Amino acid sequence: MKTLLIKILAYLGAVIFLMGALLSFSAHFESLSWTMRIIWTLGAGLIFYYLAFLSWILEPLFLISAILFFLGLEIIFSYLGFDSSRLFIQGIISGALFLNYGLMFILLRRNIFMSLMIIGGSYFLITLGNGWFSSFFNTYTQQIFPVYLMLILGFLYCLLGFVFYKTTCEILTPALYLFGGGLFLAAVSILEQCYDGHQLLWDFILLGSVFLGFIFSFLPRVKSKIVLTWSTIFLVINIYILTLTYLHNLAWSWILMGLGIVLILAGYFYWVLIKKMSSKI
Amino acid sequence: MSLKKYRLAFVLISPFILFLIIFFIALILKNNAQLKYSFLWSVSDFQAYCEIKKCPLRDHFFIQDNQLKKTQVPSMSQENLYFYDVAQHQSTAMSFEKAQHLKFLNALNAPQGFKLIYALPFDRPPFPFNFDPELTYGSSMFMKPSFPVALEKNHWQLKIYDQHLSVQTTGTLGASENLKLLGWVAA
Repeated sequence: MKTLLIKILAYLGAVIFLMGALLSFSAHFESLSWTMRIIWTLGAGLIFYYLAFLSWILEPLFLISAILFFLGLEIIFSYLGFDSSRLFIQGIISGALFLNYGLMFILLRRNIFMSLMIIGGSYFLITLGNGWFSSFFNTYTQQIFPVYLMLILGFLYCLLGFVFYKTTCEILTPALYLFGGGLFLAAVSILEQCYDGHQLLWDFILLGSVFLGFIFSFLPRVKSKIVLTWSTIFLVINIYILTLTYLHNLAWSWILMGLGIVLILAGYFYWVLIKKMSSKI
Repeated sequence: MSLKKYRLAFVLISPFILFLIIFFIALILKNNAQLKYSFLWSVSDFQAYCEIKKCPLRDHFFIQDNQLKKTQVPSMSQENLYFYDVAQHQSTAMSFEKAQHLKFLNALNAPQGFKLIYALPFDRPPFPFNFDPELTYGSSMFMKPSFPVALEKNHWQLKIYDQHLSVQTTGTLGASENLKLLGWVAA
């Protein structure tokens, strides 16, 4: 418990420090020379990086150093005349950081490096998807491509959580299921709204994704209350979406009554499932 | 040294390796976009709205047989010529009379992949701290802030015109129809 509290305080401190430092950096950016900008980012990043090796309590400093490295590498590109906000440049930097932290995880087997690798890899995937892969599709698909990326990332996070079962990285699984489950189910709901032309197919996909969530949460390797909670939330949301879709149907009143019963049943089954799961864990 | 010490040593120097790799990638991209020739470019300044057939006749410039030519077409915009001198690293306004004596490279010898764009000011905080909605999306197409003109290749940008031109097109940043790279001048 004490260890957890120390870790929470350390990470909270790191995030608050980073917010202050970045606000100060962006406010004074124009008055700084290029050398000072590099020292403020890459130099400070290096200091935090080496300090983080001193004790496990200082581990959150890796997070600060990773963000400072990212900003510093952007400044190197800007200094050489590139527009660092372009997806291409963002992709190069995030890809390099992904490989760097991946290599460090292989060498030292510390979970912080796996977390940074996942963050770097996710951003790399987003830049690659939006900047390059989306160009293979039509204009409309390009516009909604971020939703597809949500779907892919959600799936990958859940897959990683599944793979990390009983490994040194198992501690990361709740966070992966939290983001993965949420992203995947939210993406399916948004996609249904984007493709309302193929309604019946998407109605099945909507409900299917929720049932997939329920099944996944009960897999022996998973047993995740987080995915179960997400599935229940999205069952309610998706039923609401479907009800709105068929708003002008004559059977609306019957659907409303049905919806009420389904909600009561969903709540009841959620309670039963949670109880069952708690007794198993 | 034991394997563990080698691993630790590598981890300790890995940020420097990362910085060097990124620096060399940036250098390679920049060198690939190295500018060797001077060039003539034009910007169309919006004058006034008019029905396209009733618009006054204005100069329209183009390259034919490696020479600058002009024709007159009804247009809402006035096209102005600029010459970018690669030796002096600056653009200067140029009259048609002077520009028509320039000898241009033919399409086969001309450098490829360059385009003229309206760029954001170069000296600004890195992403994501550089987003300024007022700068990127002005309140109306005629009240947009002005942007420097840059030549771009491989995402590397060379600022070619410091005195900001007013962007009076419906687009925001990036490539614009009122910027034209007319031709590369033979050395």
